Amino acid sequence: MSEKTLIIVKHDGVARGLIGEVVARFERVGLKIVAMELIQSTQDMGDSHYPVTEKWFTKVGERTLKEYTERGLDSNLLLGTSDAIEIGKLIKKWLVEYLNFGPVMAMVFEGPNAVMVGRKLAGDTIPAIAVPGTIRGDFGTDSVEFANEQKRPLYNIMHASGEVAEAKEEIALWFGNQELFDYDVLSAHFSGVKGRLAK
Amino acid sequence: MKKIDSIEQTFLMIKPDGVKRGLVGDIFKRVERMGLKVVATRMIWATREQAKGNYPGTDQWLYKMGEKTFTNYKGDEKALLEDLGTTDLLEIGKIVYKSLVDYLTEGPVIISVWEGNNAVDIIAKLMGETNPLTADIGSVRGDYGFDTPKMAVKSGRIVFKTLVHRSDSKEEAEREIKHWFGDKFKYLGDYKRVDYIGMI
Repeated sequence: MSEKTLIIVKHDGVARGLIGEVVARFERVGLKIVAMELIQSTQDMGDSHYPVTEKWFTKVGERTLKEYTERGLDSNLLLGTSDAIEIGKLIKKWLVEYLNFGPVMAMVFEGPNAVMVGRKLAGDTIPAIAVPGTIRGDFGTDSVEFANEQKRPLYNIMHASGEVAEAKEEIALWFGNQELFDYDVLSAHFSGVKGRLAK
Repeated sequence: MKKIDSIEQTFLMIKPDGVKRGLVGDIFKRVERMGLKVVATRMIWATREQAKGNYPGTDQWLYKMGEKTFTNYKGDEKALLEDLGTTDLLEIGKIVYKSLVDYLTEGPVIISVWEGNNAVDIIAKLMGETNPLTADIGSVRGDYGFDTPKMAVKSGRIVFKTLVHRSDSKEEAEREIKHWFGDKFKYLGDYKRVDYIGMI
């Protein structure tokens, strides 16, 4: 089934001139651009882009605490707290600042398994771990240690929706009532998108 | 910092054939690696009115378009009659105009504004001349173009596809940005492109 996913080239990617690089990789696998706009996100948009549930804060906070423990770091000393929810909220603040730092290229791509394919092309969220051949693996070296030391989120070039339901919410947030265009890219005639191979 | 006159804006559109062939990323890459900064981008599907407004559309202009076609046919009236059904220059101009609008509205396009040192001339050079057979290798049209006026006419499309449109001058850029973005234009160029760090 055809899906839609939200892809954002974040400001580090825009400033480094990596928009075309990201878009080209998505076009190359046959995904279709159905919306594209250079956007300066606002505080409200940034706040809404990341969840505000206690569950999400806890998840993010616990993940960070686990990383700290593994690396023998003291969250009290570095972040002023060891409470998972508090840490989750702090990280959300950093993420929103990063997203809003400057203009970003927001796009909706459509195609079979667009969400999963988008995650695959992006690579692991930690650039130092992302494998070569993925966008983050090819264009980043940022690490958790480095980011924590500077009290900021990982700079990882792009955002890709995590799941289909999330993509729907994110597309509504970034593109609102704007039209998502309905047309065919030429590769669709031979990629299965338009059905069986035909003469 | 002093105002640098040669830092200017230009308008670039990736036309429906460029979008459908999946060349948006490649074209952006070529412009980005010249250090140019994107200050606005949108995907739109032009209305016929909007596409019409991209050209002067006056009788004088239509006549000129007719003349151009006549020259392309080396004045062969028989061939003109066969392909276009008329030898009247104004009528031919109208047929060309309609075909230009058909082309620009056959699918969505990406409109963008780029800023940097000599942006107008740099983008003109990167896109190459419209004729794919003489466009430089390494230019967008030299690397991807294969359509010709002849193939377009024989296929009933009349005008040949050129992948992109870009401004000829600063003044034209200003008019085109207004025309294509309208009141949706928001300048988002208040940031640094890495290639310009330490340069200005």
